[in-house]
Amino acid sequence: MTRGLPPEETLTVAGGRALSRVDAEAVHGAALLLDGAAEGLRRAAHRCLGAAGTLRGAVWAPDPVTPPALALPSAPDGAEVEAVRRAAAARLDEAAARLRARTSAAERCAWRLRLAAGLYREAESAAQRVTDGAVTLLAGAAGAWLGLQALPVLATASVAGGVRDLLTTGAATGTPTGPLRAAQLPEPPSAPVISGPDGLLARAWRVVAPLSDEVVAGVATGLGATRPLSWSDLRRGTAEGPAAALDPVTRGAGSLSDVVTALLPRSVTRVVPLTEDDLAGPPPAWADRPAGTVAEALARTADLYPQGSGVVDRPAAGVPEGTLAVEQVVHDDGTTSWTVLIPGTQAFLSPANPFDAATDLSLMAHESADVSVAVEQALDAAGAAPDEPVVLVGHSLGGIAAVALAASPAFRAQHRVGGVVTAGAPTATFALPAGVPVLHLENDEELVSAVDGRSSGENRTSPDRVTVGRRLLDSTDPADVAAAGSIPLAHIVPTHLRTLTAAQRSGSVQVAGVTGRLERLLDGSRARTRFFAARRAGPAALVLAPGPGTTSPPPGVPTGATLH
Amino acid sequence: MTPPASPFPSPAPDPAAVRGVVLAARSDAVDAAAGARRSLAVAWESTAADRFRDDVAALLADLDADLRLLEEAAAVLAR
Repeated sequence: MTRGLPPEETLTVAGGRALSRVDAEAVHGAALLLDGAAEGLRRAAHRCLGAAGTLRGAVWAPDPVTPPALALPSAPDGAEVEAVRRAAAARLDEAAARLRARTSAAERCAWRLRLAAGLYREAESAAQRVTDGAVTLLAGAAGAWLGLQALPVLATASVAGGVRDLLTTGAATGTPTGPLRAAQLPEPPSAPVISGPDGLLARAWRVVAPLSDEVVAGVATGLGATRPLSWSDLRRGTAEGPAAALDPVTRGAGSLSDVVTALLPRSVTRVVPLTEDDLAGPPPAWADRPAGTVAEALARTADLYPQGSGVVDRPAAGVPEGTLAVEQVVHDDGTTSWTVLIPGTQAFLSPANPFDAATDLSLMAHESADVSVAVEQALDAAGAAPDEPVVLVGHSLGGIAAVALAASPAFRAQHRVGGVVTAGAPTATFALPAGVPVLHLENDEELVSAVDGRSSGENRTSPDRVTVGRRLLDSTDPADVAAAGSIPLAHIVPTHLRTLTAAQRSGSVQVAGVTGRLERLLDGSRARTRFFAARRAGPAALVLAPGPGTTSPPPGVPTGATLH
Repeated sequence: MTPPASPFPSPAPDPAAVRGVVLAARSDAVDAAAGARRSLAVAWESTAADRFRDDVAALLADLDADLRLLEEAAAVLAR
């Protein structure tokens, strides 16, 4: 099933700045010459194969009627003639095999050049289009059926949420749940994961994974068809344009968000600056150095997971659940920029940790979300000035939060967005401002990035916004092949880091352009990283600016921390 | 008296014809190599273009060996 390609040849790259017309024509010309060479080599291979077949046919299937007509000049007897033919046929077989290999090499040279120059667009075959359409249609019917069944639940949840908000504004509505466990420092992996599940489900997933965006789009469209436009849809349309009001994925997420919000106790989110005492070990070695590169920024984001990043030999940061980091980067010219590292989902539904599915749904519904609030508070607490550029780096939920903030006029009024990096995040429903370099890393098998109903190639693009997608199954890297059969393995940061490495090795001008712009902000002469734990708590449990010793932190807040 | 026509296509290949096919294959490969060589002059300065030139140069070196193999096959058939 795997196509056995080097990782660089399993990529799709969409968006980014185009080459100049002169360079593009030069690349086109060179690639066309290679296409022509490949065609000639294929023809030569066919000829060799045909000639070898003719010779071998004469050797192995002599005509029983006609006497042999061949009279080779230096072949006096039949045995010698046969030997000569066999030798020639063997050489021609070998030549055909070699020429086929050269054909493939020439085609790959041309493909790689076009990909690197941003001139390659994968065309869907007619069969693929029919399959995609059929899947979307079936999923749409299923979504419509689900929508009709769930109509009373969704309507009740929507009304209940509204009534609860009216009744409980400003009132105490509950207290946070029990304390979160302090993070323990896990051992980093010593080798990449190169074996994964290989059962029936894993094998089926490897095949159908590329259709996940069609399934999501179909179900969302079907669900949306059963729902009238709501006030929140209209509000979103006013703020972001008509497309946002009608987007089926956003509307579907809004419906589900209503249900989940009605189930959870009402809370507010606050960030708590962490001290060294709150960490499970010494502060990460990188805490006083700028990330410098997109890859390092992503790896640091993954370090914030309590279980660590999963990157070989890379220790975890040893921070509690629900921690985000803010790096203050000072550049050689004395200017300052900020890098916010936002990890992904860590709980299904949590009364204390906002990195949960409820936040995922709020973000996908383009609603105010706890993690976005936490990022704003952390930047304010760290002292980010409005004119200092902020690079938002996020994985999974953190990636959605990053694009949601970058898309938010309210956030941009407070902070200058300098760039966005996301890995494994469904981002296509968000329109981002022009001039902000954005890099999205996705793959076909992780499911999460397809939850926006768009494949990597269908993501929003602009000269500033680049999406790198990948079909892991096609790769020769055993870690990629293992990840192709496992959604968690496909989704973790190490897999996305391999995608970034492959994209950079491919020489893609789009990727080089956008990472170059991002890395100018990520790198600097010195840096300081602050860690903040984001916590949900009932409104009455929080006392703003309490002063030292006047109150104890709410349950779930790490020891030694003060409310901010 | 002429022998009766065979109902089977003649299995005995005409060596000149087979050799002609091999020489045509060689000619295709030579033309392909010429095209690939012209692509080396791609006027794009970038690391990707440098890598492209390296890859095409390696392809041309391999093609040289393939052409020699075709010449050997043609020589065998000329005997």
